[in-house]
Amino acid sequence: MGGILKKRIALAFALLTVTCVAALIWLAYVNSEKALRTSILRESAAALTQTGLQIDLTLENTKQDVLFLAGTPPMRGIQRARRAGGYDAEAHSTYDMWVERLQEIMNSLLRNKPDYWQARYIDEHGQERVRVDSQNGKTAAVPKRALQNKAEYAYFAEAMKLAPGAIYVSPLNLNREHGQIEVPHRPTLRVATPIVDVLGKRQGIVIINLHAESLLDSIHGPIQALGGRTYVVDQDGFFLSHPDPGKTFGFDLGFDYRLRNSHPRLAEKLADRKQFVEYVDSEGQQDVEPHIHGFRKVAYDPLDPHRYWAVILELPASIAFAPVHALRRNLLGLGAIIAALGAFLGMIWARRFARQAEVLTATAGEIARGRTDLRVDLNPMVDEFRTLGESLNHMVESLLASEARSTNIVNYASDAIVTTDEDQRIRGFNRGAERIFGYTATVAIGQPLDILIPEARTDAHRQHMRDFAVEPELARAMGKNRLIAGRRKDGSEFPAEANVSKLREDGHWVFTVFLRDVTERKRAEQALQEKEALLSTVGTMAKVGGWEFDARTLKGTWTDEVARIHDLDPKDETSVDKGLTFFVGESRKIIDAAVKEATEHGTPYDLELEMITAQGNHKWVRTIGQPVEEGGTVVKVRGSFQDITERKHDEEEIHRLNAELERKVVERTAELEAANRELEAFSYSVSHDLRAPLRSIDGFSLALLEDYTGKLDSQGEDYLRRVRAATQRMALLIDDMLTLSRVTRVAMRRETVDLSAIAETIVAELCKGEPARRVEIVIEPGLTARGDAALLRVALDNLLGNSWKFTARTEQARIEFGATLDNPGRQTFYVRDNGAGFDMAFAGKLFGAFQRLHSPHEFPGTGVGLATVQRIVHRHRGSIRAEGAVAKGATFYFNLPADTDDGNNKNNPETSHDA
Amino acid sequence: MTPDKFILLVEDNPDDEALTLRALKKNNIANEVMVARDGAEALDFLFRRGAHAGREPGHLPTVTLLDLKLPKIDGLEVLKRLRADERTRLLPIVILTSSKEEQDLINGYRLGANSYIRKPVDFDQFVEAVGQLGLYWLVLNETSPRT
Repeated sequence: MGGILKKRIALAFALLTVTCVAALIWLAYVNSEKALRTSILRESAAALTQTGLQIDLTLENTKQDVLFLAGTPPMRGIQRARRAGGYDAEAHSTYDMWVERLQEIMNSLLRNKPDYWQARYIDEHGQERVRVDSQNGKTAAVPKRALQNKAEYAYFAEAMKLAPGAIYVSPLNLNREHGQIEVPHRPTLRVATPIVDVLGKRQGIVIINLHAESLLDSIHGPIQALGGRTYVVDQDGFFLSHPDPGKTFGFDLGFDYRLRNSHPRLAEKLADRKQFVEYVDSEGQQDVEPHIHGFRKVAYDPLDPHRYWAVILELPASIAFAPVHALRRNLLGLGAIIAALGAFLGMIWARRFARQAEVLTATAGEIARGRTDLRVDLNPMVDEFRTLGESLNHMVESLLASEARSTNIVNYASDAIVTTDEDQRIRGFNRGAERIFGYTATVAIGQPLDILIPEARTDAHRQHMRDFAVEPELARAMGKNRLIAGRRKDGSEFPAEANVSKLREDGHWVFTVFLRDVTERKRAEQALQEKEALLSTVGTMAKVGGWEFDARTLKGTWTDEVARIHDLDPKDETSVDKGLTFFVGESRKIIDAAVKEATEHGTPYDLELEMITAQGNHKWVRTIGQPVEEGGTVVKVRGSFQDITERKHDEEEIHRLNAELERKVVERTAELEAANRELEAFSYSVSHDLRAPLRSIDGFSLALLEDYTGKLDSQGEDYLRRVRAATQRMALLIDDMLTLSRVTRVAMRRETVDLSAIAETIVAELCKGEPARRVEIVIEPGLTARGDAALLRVALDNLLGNSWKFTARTEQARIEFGATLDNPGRQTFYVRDNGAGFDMAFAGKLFGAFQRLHSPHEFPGTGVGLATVQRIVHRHRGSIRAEGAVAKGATFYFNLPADTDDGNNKNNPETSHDA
Repeated sequence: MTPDKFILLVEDNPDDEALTLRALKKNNIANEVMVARDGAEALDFLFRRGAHAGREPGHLPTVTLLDLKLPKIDGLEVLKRLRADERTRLLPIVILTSSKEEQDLINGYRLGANSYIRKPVDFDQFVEAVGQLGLYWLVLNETSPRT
């Protein structure tokens, strides 16, 4: 096998090499010829252009020289001398002297320009006047006697016709001396200009004869460099220059050999082209050698563009393409060498390649037959074969490692992997299976698979496996969309997920069951479901749900409760736009702005808004939005959504009730104010009207006593005195009642009141009223309270007045005014005496109006004083109580809380009914 | 005591009128006492209008004893009008009333009363008060030359 391979490879290699080389050579040849032709055509055109320019340049130089001679001072001198009969008075020179000078200049010119062979001045009659010839580099002025008349020559007549400064260029022809063509032939070009004197009269011409051979030779240069031939023809097609000199100047020498005879195509093109180059191949013309030809026209006469010369180029292809042919030969030789070398190298390489391939093939075959311990011997291997060998070795290693890994995975997988044969007997039982089912592999292997399946399910399972065996699919999940159950060794069953796959092995099906115990997962799922249910229930109860949306796409999700609040199906997809449509009016504006702020600037919001649900229900909701930022960009907004309609209704109800209450308060206040006004009117009436009759009763009783003394017996007078006493007592009662009433009604001013000072004043007045009494007075100095000074004075008046009154019969009477701290630390004032006192059983009656514990006979009084005191204390938000015992004195305690509401509120007047 | 000096008593209650006259008498005040029984009459008398239009001009009471609670025009209103009129602006006016209301007292003085006396129920005290009043206004006090 190796030998055949070797030969095949070598042959293929050699063939490939030869084909490649041949293709390369052919490509190079074709391309080079094409490129060369283009290049040669371009070069030919360039050579023609150059030639044309060279002719122009030569002619231009000659023209300048002719104009120079025409303008030299001797020329003007000669004219002046001729006009003046041989003497130029202006320059003090004779005619001959000027001629000599002109000869001098012409000599010098001809020496410098070897192409010029003659320079002349010919006068207006055609007579040569000055003539310098140049021959073989020597110049000589022609003596006077040798000068000829050229009047009949065309160049003279033409030049004489020209305007001053214009140039005449003659056709290029053979020179004639004395009318005969000079031999050897001298192709000559004449360039002339007229001499015009100051009067505009023509005085002859200046003319230079140019040796045209040199001019014609010079144009050959660039074309000959290409290896081509050059011809020059005039406008009539006569050759001026030809490789065969015998074919030139036919018009001078009397034969008609022209361009159209030898080059008809060029002659044709010459009619309308200034320059022309083309390649002519030999197709269809056996006698024509392939060549390049072309021309360029040079118009030499500035006055007549139809007078021209054409430089003709002719380049045989054999010469032009000689380099290509040489290259072709070289390439062929090179190709042969490369092909031979390729075949040789191919042979050597093929030998090495074949040997390595053989080793690889043999080793791979062994390995395939199970010799996994074998490895490719890499020693003879190089390059790709070595790589191939290494890869093969590596592959075997990987395969072995992979196999080990698979075994490991199977063994240590947490899932149970159980393999069975077609008869449902257990063939493989990994550690996962041992752990899950409780059997050891040794026990399980060989047992029917039924031992792992709940008894109730074994038949169905067997059927299932049989079905699977004949179906085309190779793997399936068992119990799709539902759980299957497994049976442990102890008989307990558990939920599981399983997949089964089958594999054809040695003509029998082998089934592999992957089974996972999902007890824990099920438990977790259930717990999660319970939590979700709890959350959902709580959400439903609280009417609160959660939502979240993507800040970029504005797509989002919400909990079922949010959907329910919207009266939407929880299954429907949602988005911010959709959610926002439920808000209307002002709420819509607020939520739009809040969402924009949240998504763009991460501003959280907490809003209470009105919405119209999908079913048109009007609801109040509270929605809280909290943006979630990542890397400074808001990516999500999430928050809560709560139906607060009921709360809102409650709030509205509260507002309504409050308003109602407020209204009622206003009403009641108005009623109270009206009542107060009535009370005031009543009081006024009492104070005024009730006293008037009393005054009459008293007054007239006294009038009776005074005016009718002696007409009444003593009993009658006693009666009248009783009338008067009752009258006065009633007046007192009225006054006290008014005081009590006023205490309730007057506005309170709150200020700091020096109670001690007031007490001192009151006691002083009492003492003054009854100077005979001896009473020990103890007043704690500096006691102050905040309250209404006038009212507090009335209160102390009554308390101290009472003490004064009830100690009237007490030996060593003592009255105290002081303060103590009560339980909560408040200052409590007291007025204490050691007078008549009272029975604590009647303490409740003490502060009632018109309530008295003593008879007027014992102690006078109206029973209004303490009621008044209590009202004053109450108006100060304070409290008052009394302690006492019969014959042991009494103590009245009261406090006056500082800086509380002053009780001056007209809406809430003191209406104490405990009196 | 010049018989020219007379007292104007503005009092609607006949009892009070009698008692006041008795009190004056008991104090030996013999000056003529003119009585007006309501506020309107008092004003007519003093401004010589209505029933009093023919009264001699320029003859004004030395003192006017003015009750507050009066029919038609009450005492404070009478006082106000008297004080508003150039002729009676400086007329000595003593408020003699049963009212002990602070408000009446304040209003009385504010409107230009020269004195405020509360009628005591005890007639002895009343007599004493009237006595002092008469002594002061009819004997001691020098009235403004314009009255």
